[in-house]
Amino acid sequence: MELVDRYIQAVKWSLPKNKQDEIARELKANLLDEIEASTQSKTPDDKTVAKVLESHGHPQKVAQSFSTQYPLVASEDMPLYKKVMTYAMVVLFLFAVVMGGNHLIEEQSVNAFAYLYIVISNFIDTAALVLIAVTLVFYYLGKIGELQKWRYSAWSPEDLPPLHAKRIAKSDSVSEITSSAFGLLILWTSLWMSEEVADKLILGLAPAMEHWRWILTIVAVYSLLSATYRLFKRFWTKTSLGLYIAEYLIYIFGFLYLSTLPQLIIVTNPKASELSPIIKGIFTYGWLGGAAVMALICVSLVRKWLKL
Amino acid sequence: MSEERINKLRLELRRGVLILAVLGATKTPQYGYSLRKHLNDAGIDIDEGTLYPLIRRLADQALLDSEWKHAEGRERRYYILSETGHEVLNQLTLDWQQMNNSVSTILSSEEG
Repeated sequence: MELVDRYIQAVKWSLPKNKQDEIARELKANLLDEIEASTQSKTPDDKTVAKVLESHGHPQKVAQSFSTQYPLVASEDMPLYKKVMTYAMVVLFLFAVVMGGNHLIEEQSVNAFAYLYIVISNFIDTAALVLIAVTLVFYYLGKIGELQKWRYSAWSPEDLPPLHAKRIAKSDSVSEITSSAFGLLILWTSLWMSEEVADKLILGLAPAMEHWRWILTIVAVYSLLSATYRLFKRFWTKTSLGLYIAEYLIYIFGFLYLSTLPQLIIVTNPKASELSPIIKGIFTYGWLGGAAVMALICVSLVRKWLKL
Repeated sequence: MSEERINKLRLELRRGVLILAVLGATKTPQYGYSLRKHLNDAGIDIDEGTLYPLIRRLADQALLDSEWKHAEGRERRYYILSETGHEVLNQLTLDWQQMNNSVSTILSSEEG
């Protein structure tokens, strides 16, 4: 029966090599019994045979049912996989934004489309590699049973959030981490930016205000660490919210103080010297505007704190 | 509730007892098609795409022994319960009876 042999061949092609002959032999025996049972004739016609084969199912489906497939990422590991991929993509996106900005400075260009293109293409390039790497790691660790301990963090009933605790949105923590990291990158361009590109930067700290680099670094690092902490402890307590409000008060008073000082940020590139008055104006009112916005946020945080 | 959803729930309900039914039916030697017919005659409708991979898996787990036999000009692979399979069947039968009693109690008490 040629149809049966063709069906068996199609199933074999989808089976692992070491199982092909064994499964094909048994499958043929079963199919011949099914065909014999479906007809009274000793030589069933192709139509009858085809009907039995169709009821058996697609050759690939039959092959899959005989060989256990291990998924790339097991269903119980998917929440952890998604979490890791989300954080990785955020970091990669930040990296792409910074590299895009670096490229624009290098080219002395303000082309928004060129910037978007560079950011997106950089992101896709690195994201594709990270996706493959993370998936392979999950596949390997899942297969050897090493992912179980990472699925859920250690916990105890006593450590659970209090009743009616206010949840901290993940996006808030992520945006704070991103802006703190970005601030640190801007403060320390000398550590990662090439001299060639750094020479093309238009703005920088005024020489007399160099000590502010360290003050702002300490503030940015503290902000980064506390936002990272809030990424894992995603609910407010009176203490944590109180500290957060204190952070905002530092920003408010810091901005107000900076508005009274000689200019912190100046135009450092002689080619852009005509921008100096504009930059001076922006930062003079910018500190005050920033303080006002921070104050409004602080008021809503205090209200939240009082309700805790 | 739609017929499709009920069928899915039925499938879930049957999935658990299928192994017990197959182990129980292989106390005497059976080949693929005869086992399927045996189960069908007992009221357990199971398609070949489910049964044949299942008996292979049970054989791989050493719950069934098998051997090829030639008869009526054809070869067939016959399966029979192994020693381990007997032990497992006895345990699963006890579990099934306990569960059956518990569920019957719940269902009859719900009916009031």
